Amino acid sequence: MKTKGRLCEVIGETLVVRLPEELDHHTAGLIREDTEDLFLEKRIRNVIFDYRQTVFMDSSGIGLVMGRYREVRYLNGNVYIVGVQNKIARILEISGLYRVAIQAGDIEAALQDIQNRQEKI
Amino acid sequence: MEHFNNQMVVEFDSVSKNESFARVVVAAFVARLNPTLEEIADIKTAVSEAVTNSIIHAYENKDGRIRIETHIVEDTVTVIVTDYGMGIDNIEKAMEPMYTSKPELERSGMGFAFMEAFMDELFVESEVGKGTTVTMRKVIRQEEGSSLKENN
Repeated sequence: MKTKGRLCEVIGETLVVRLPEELDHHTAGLIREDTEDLFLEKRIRNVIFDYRQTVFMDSSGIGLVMGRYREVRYLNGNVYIVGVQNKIARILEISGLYRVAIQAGDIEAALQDIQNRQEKI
Repeated sequence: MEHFNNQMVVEFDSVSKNESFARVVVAAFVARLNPTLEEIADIKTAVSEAVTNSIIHAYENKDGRIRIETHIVEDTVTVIVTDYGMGIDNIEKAMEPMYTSKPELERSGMGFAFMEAFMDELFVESEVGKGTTVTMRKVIRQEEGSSLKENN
């Protein structure tokens, strides 16, 4: 399953990942493979996870976000979460992911926040 | 309120693409109890965690079989996930929240915590070299026409 072209996009130094309808060990593994390639090819300082299409998620999705968080921390970057549907909101809250990931209204808001933080430096 | 006694068994290869199948097959079987969307999501998540554990830990992504037994007795659903893999040496440690024996696979260590959070009861039995059985139970609080209510 070739996902890179459709689900991952790099804007400047920000990786935007459009998460699939079901985020489990299987699909998280595919996404991780694609993002690994991009992290090697390009300089990625921030990641935005777009959850708008995600209606199912288990703990594998938590690991996926945490893994990218650890990677961007090296460049003092952040991980953003946008478009969370009610169906999976509970899982994200229970996992404590909001302690490390920043919740943004939408992708534009996240990109704006990234720009603001960059300008403060 | 409809009362049911029913059971099913499925067995499938321990490949990650079957995680979705496992979730759907248990959800479909339980659907006759008229659970709420949240109860179905809870069960699907718990099943997903248990099956993923078997794939990653019991078989370490190699060939194996996973068996799911689902029993419905009145309003209680019992899901039993069994594998014939390497087994768990220290069950208590394995069930510690945030503990994972596979950090290199970006496992969050929350599988058992989620199973416990979303099901009413959780039992884990295991024997090293023989396999592991995870038993989970949930009482479905049937509401008259609840699935219709959710869609409104």
